[in-house]
Amino acid sequence: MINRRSLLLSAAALAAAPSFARIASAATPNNIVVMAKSIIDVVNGFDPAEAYVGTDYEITSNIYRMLVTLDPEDGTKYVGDLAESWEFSDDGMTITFKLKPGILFESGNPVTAEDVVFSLHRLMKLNKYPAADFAQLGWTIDKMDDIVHAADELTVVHRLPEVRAHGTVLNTLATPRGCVVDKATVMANEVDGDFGNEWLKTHSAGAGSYRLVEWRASDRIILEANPNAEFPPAVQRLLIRNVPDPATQLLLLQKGDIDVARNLGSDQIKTARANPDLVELSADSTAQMNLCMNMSVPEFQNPKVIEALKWAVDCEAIANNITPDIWDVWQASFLPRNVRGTVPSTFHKDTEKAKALLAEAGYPDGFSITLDHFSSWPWANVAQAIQADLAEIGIKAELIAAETGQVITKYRARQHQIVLIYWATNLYDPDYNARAWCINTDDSDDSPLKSQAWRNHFVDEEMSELADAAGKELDADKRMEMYDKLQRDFMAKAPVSWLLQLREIAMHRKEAPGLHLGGMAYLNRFGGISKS
Amino acid sequence: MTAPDLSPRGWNRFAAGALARGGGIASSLAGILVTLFGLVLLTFVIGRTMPIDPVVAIIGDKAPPGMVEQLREELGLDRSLIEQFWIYLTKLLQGDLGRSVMTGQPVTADILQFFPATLELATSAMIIALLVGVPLGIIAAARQDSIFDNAVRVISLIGYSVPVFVLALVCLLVFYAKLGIAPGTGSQGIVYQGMVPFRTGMIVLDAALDGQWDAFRDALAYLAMPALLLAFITMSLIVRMTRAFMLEALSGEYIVAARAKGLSETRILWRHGLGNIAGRLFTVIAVIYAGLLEGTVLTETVFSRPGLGFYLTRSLLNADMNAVLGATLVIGVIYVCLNLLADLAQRQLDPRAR
Repeated sequence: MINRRSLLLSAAALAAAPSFARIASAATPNNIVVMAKSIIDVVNGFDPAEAYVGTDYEITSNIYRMLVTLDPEDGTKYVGDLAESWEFSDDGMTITFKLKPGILFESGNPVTAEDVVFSLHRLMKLNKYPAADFAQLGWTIDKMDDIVHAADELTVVHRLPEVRAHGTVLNTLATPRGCVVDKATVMANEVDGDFGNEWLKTHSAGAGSYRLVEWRASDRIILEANPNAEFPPAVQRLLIRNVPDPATQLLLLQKGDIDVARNLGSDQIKTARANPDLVELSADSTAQMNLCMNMSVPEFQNPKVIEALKWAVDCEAIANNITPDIWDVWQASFLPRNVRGTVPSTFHKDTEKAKALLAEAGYPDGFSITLDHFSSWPWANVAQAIQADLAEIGIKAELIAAETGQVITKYRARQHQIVLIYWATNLYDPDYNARAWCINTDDSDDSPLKSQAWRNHFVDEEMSELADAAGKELDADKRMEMYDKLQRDFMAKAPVSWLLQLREIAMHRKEAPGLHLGGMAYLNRFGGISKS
Repeated sequence: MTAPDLSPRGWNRFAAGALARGGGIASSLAGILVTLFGLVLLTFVIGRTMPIDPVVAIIGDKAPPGMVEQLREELGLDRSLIEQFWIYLTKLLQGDLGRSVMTGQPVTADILQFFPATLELATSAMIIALLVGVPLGIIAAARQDSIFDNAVRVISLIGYSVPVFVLALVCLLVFYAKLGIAPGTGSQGIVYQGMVPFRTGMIVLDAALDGQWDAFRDALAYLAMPALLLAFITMSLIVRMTRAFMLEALSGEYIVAARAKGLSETRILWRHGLGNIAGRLFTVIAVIYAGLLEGTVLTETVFSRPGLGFYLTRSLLNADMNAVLGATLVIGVIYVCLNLLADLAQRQLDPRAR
């Protein structure tokens, strides 16, 4: 029965509905692009001397510029960014960079050699994690004046402290660790000798396409066009909203409340592909999923057991049924497929061969083992598939699911038996992964170099020496031959089974094209995003 | 203030009463302090002994061993547990909750950023749940086993048995994606982001205080769906509790007496029945409200409104102990205050509790 009260309530609801509906149907304005992304990985803000993870990397490389960068069309080549040109000395130990004249920071100050030298010295003096990659090249705080100095206003001279392949040096400089900051602005905001570190966490002082306007942890990042940029972006503002849930990202994209979605899952990608208003972008990431076997476990001291496991897992089935579109099969060696010089894989599922290898190793009935893995998707599902595959050859794997930090802590302490984990190189140059996975010259608990090889008690002197030599080889062709051998040896001997490689997929509305995915976070570029 | 005009015996009784009251307050305060100390101690021990290395969260998995050790030293993790706890307590007493390693900000600043979002969502949900839940529970009890009672039972069963994230996604799909009568996720439309000055951190309130009525309507629209959803879940609990309390009250002899006196059913229900269950109901509501303030992580995640629960969960998974301790302390204080308030209210509302 309709009484006066219900009539009034209905009238109020009807009056309110259009106003909510107006808000609900509001599309994003033309001069702003809204990107949805999980940004909870941002740690400590956006000082390039401190940033090291996905989103930090992505933002810093869009608000700062480096001396050189990787060619967006071919990630294995280098092109000048702030540097107009560079040349190596005859002995290969000195690189002289000539800067482009007339480039300005967002403050309007010109970019000079002094800023470049300051930025690289600052990185080492602050000694945060990003300094470690340069330390690997022999850079030390006390020798920085010799290592990097300004010859004149637009000339930077880098004297290599030890012989290293030029690709490794240039690639390291092309990461956000090599970002150039505006010395005058940064030092004006220095507190207690922190080189402006605290201030730069939430502000920017770069020469990139954008400048940082606001960062609210786990909520949003707002970038604005740098008024002095050499290559101004097509839109005035870029709002990156934290939308951790993939299903919500898709809903917002379909409704036009966001322009770009960055973390869609397999189901959402399938749905989005059927929508004519949405466009898919994809690039091979360098992240790889692998099974690491601890060689302190007696069974894994027999190479035939390790080989048996490599033949046991059905990666095709995992990629097709669990991780379609996101993780593709890549069972080769320690280099991802988009790094120069990778060798093809010989492994695929062959249960009979795996059983025969186990029998030859003296385990015809298999054995029991534990397998640590992350509890989130897709790790738990992949671990279950691996468990079933191992059961087929008689290995009983007990699954131990835990949070990411917990699994990594256990792995770092070498307390695992088998761990399902991921690895992503910081460089396209093969040296980074070769060192991480092949060099272990001291397997003691107090080793100063706790590499991935160390974590699995994998010691192979010949491979350690070859990996180190390849990193120092100046002849590019000879160097690639060395990496070729190293990868094949690794496939034959190492206690690591590579399974899958990540594909980064983004979806954008067709009226907001221009995002460039480069395979690694620091190669993703926002400057080209436009909106019609 | 003038002294009361009392006889010597009266003075003695007054003094004894005042002393007893003072003693009661002192013992309550001591109880609160012991509870909070226990909470901090327990959280600290759990946090420091959980098998996650906080250094990994800060500098990543690839940092060289030398740098890991250096950071461990900087964070004081190389000291004994007792030493670490003592340092934390000393700083805590000076009002310093430390710095979060995940955000790089002081924990106090983080809490001031994240807690208002939770307070805004939880309080609006609670108000709606109370306004709807209590009357529904009372009417359901009065019409026990009727169609109305069964309908309320089914609705509340859905409320507390279907996972909140499923309900949240269904709501988004229906009201946002299909019908288009609600905005999407977040707490503000794009055009208003950064336009409302920070006062309380609760955007709806801040927009109203600043007189920005367009921004107010926008923020209210964004708040409506998550608040209604949480209100639905909370209401389901409140309805069940109210109905159960009321059924018990309605079987009381005083209700029979009231009916025998010829009082109207409305008066019996809303004055005598509700009056009798109010104290107990208040206690239950206080606990539910504290639970909402503690965090509604899944709702916050689906609707992209990061609040205290989200902050706490994320910090816990990364062993960010200063953040975990700070947030736990805030939650502890909320529980203690609401419990105290519930006790006082019960004494006021229920003479048997005095």
